[in-house]
Amino acid sequence: MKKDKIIKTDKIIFAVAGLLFAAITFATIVKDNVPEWKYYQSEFKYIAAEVAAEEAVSKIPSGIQQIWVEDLDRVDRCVTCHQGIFWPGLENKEQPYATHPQMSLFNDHPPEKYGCTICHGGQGYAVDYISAHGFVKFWEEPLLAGAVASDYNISEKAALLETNCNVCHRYERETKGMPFINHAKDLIQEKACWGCHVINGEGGTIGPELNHIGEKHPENFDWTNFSGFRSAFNWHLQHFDEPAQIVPGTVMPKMGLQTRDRQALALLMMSWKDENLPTKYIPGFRQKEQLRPEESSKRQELLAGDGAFFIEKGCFVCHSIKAFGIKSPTEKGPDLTFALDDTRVRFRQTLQEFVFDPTQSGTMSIIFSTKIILTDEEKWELINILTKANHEYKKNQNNNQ
Amino acid sequence: MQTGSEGAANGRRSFLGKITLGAFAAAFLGQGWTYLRALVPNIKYEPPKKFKVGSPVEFAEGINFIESKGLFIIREGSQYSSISAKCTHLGCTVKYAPLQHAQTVKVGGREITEKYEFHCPCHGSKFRQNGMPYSGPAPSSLPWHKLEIAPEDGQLVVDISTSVDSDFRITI
Repeated sequence: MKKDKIIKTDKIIFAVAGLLFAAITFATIVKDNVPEWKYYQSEFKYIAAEVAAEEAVSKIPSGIQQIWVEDLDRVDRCVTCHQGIFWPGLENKEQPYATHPQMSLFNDHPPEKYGCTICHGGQGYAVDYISAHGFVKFWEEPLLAGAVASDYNISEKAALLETNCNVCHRYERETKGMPFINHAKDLIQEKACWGCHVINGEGGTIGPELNHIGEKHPENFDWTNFSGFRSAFNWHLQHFDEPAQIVPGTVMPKMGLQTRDRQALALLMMSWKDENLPTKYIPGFRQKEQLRPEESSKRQELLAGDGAFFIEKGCFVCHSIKAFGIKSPTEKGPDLTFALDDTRVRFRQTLQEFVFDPTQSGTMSIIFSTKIILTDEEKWELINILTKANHEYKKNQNNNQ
Repeated sequence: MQTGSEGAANGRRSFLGKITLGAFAAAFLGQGWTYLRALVPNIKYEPPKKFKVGSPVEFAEGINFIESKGLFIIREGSQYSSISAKCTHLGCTVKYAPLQHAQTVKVGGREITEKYEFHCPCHGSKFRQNGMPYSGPAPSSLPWHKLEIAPEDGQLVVDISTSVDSDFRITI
C-alpha cells in the first residue's frame, strides 16, 4: 500500500514536471517570436500609410534591419524599429517612427558610411529598447539623448551629441551646428589651456596631456575629495570649478568659469577619445610630408615676402622670378622679373592691360581663365608686385655695375 | 476481480500517463525546434544585400557601371535592369564591350539580338548581352539582380540576394 502511494506521488510529480517543461518551452518559442521590434514594425505600417501610397507601404521591409559600416567596424540595427528615419512627412510622429529631425546632415554624413551610433551613442547590435539605447551594465556609450542630458543638468538637449560630433571634428576650430563644443574651443584659446597641456598633439608639459582624456575611465579618477554622483563628466565639472579642491596641491588655477562654460569644457574633454577612425572621417586631419631641414627652410623662405604670391598661386611652376630668388622647376615661361617690359615687347600692351586682358597670349588666357583665376584685387596686387620687382632689380643691377 | 475504485484508479493512472507522455513529447519537440532554429541566424554581420544606388533619373540611357558595388544598371527608357559585373570564374570585374554592329545569336535555344557583351579581362571569359558565357573558363551566367523602388524616397534599390531572369525589368 505504502509503495503504491509513493509511486502514485512520483507519477504526479513527473506529470507536473512534464507540463512545466512543455510550458517553458512554449513560452520560450513565443517570446522568441514576438520581439519588441515586431510590434514597432507593424505599427509603422499604419503610420506610413498616412503619408505614402499602399504600394509603397507594402514594400516596407520587415525583419531585423541594419546599417553595416565597414570603415567604422560598426553595425547599427537601430533602423529595425526607427523605420521612419528616411521618410519625409513623419516629423511630428513619436519615436521610434519619426523622420530624422536633421535630414540635411545626411548630405555630408550618408547613413551607409556613418551608421547611427557613431553620432548618437547606444548599442548598435541590440534590438530591444533598453539594451539598444545602451542603458545596461557594461555598455559604456549610452544614447546621448534627453535622458542623459537631464541626468547631467544640461539644459540644451542636443549638447551631449556634440561630444560625439567632436570625436571626428576635433581638429576643426569651429564646426557648424556645434555651439557647445565651439564655445569650449573658444575657452581653450581664451584661457590658453595649451600653455600647460598637450591638446591635439601640441602644447605644454606642466599639466597632464589631454589628447585622449575622453578615454579615461571613471575608475581611474581620484575621487578622494569628490562629492556627488561619480562620473567622468561630473569629475571634470567639479574640477573645472575648484581644481585645488579635487586635486590638492595642483597648480591649475581656478578659471572663474560659469556653469555653461564648465559643462561645455567637460563635454569637450569627453570628446577627446582615441577612437579608431579612418583619416578620411577626420576633417582637418592632414598628413604632412617630412622635408629635410634645408628643404623646409627654403620653402619657408619662398613663402615669406613678396615672392609668396607666386608660390601660392602656382606661377612659379612655369616662371622663374629672379628678383625674389624663385627658380621655376620647368622654366616654361619667361622670367617674370621682366614682365613689365616683356608685355610691351611681345604683346604691345602694358602689364596692366595684359593682366586684365591676356587674350594676346594663348597660354596665359587659358591659365588666367581656367587654372589661376584672380580677383581684380589680386590682379592689382600682381601688377604692383611685378612693377616693384622690376624697378628694384634694375636698381640693384645698376648699383652693382 | 476488479473493484470499482481500482478501475477508476487505473483510468486515472492511464490518463496521467498520457498527459505526462504528451507533455514531454511536446516539450522535447519544442526544444528540438529551438535548437534547430538557433542554427539559422536572424541577421549576419555582413555588407547589405539590398542597397540604394541612386535616383532612377540619375542614370544615363544604356549601361551604367557602379564600381563600388560591382554591377551594371541598364536603363532603356523607363525600364531598368541590373546585371552583376563579377565574372563567375574568379570574380574579376567584367568589361562592358559594345559591338560595332548589333548581332543576332542563338543562346540556349532562343534568338537574341545583342548590341554589347561583357568581357572579362583576366582570363578571357566572354558573356552575351544576357549574361550567358560563350567563351573562356567562366562556368555560369552573370546573375541578374532584382530591382525595387525604395518606398520612402523613390531611389532604385538593388537586391543582390535575389537572382532574376535576364528578362526582368522594372518600369518607372
